[in-house]
Amino acid sequence: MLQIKNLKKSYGHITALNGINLNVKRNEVYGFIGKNGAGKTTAIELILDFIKKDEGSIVFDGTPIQPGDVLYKNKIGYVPDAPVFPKYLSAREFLKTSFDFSNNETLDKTKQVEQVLKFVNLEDKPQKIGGFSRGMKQRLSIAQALIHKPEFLIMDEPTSALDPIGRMEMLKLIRVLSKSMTIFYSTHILEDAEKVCDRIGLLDKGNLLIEGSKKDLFENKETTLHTLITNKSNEDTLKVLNTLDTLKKVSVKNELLRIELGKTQPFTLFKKLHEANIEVRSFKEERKTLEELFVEVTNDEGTA
Amino acid sequence: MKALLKYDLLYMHKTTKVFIMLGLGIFLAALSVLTARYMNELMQYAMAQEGIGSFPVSEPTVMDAYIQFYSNMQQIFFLVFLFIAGAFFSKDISQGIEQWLFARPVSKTKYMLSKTLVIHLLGLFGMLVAALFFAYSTVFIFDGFSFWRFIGSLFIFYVFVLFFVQLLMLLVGLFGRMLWPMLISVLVFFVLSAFSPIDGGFFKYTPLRLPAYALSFIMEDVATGDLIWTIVIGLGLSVFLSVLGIFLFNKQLYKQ
Repeated sequence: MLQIKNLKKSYGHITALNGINLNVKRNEVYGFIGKNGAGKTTAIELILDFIKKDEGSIVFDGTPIQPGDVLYKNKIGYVPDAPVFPKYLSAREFLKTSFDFSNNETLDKTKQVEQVLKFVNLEDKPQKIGGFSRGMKQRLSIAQALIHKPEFLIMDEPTSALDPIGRMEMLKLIRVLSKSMTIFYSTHILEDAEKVCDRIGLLDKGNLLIEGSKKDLFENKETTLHTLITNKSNEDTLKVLNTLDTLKKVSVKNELLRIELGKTQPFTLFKKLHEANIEVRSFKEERKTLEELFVEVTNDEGTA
Repeated sequence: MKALLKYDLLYMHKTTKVFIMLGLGIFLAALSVLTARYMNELMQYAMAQEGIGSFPVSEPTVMDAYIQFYSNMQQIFFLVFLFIAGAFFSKDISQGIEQWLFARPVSKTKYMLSKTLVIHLLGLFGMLVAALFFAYSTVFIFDGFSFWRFIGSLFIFYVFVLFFVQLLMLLVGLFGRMLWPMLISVLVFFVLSAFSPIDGGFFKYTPLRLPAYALSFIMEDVATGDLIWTIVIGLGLSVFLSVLGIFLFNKQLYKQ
């Protein structure tokens, strides 16, 4: 549905996007993941033609987007990271105005507005938007993006400003929406992306480092690790493990030893521990979290 | 375009800009008539109180009313209107609402055209209400009120307003914010005002002369050629500023 090829954008000497390529398929939730400042919002602004690209192409629904094009936006709904509204309008007036801009003549405006208000639980809120809470504004932002029944929904950090309950509600909403449209979900909260996305693109410093389905990414050998519990202390066990040169990485998290085997066979590991009189009580294969994968790929453990 | 016009008109209505212009227009019209009618008497009374003694002052005429009206329109109505226009042109960008707007199939050219149309509708509405209230009051107080000449003079005066509003629109297209466009527009107004008494060369045809021409037109004391040229130049410059403003707005990157 959306193909981006060699997309570049710089602001003076700062490179925001360094020739990224990505492909969003119809009816999937695509997680566009990166730290703050990675270039996610710039990419979204380029897709929406808010800013001019330096190089590359963006093809939406089979048609290349040219500067000044507006018609393709009929198929797009956009939830900005920090939504701002005309404060003097009520939610109902705002959605009616949003609907008017979308040129959708096949839908009944009043019916659609009421449906969407109900969907985001704002149907009984007659006050002006200026008096809305942050959560209500976020829901209204989703409502305005859905008012014209878009095929493609762009969500830019929709959960970043929400409390845990708000976040949970938002993820639930994304799951519901994903049944009827393609979602381009930009976030730096990896836990959220892991919960709702079908495919993922990892962006760092303007470069797309990995792109693939969650399944592909996690079935990769590099994305598995093992947790180890022995009858001795972690320090004693670590001393033995450190003598195995073929082990890729050993770390301790939540009092558990986490091992990336690399070229080491489990049998060799057990043998070594046995020779040191260390008894293995538990040895489980685990999938790395998206966060760990992200840290590994960006090689930047301190900030993810 | 219809949706944009509706959106802009809704803003004018909901934020009471319509009522502000309406109230201001009526207030200034009433003030003009009352000032023209009673200013001389008030001055005589004040001077008598101070012991300066009375001296003969001429009876106020309808011309005094016209002068007061255009003086108030130029010094108060115009500046308030310019301020409202600046806020109106820049509000979506400065408040961050443009993300919502331009994520939709909204053409930037139509967006600016709609804004231009609606702000001038507001300006004309406010001025027309003021003019009608003024005309109604003046007819009863002064003799010799010339309704059609007065309406014609309003058109001349509005070309002056048009020029400055379009200058402001161009500057908003350039800066995307309100402060600098307002400051520059007001500065241009004061600089051109300082040169407006110069009755020769380039200065003879600047839009700043239009309020004076509006009064001369009512008095039937104006060279038709000069008047037409000044109007044509005022309109031409306004069109040029509008086209350039829309061009710059289209080029503008709302977020750097």
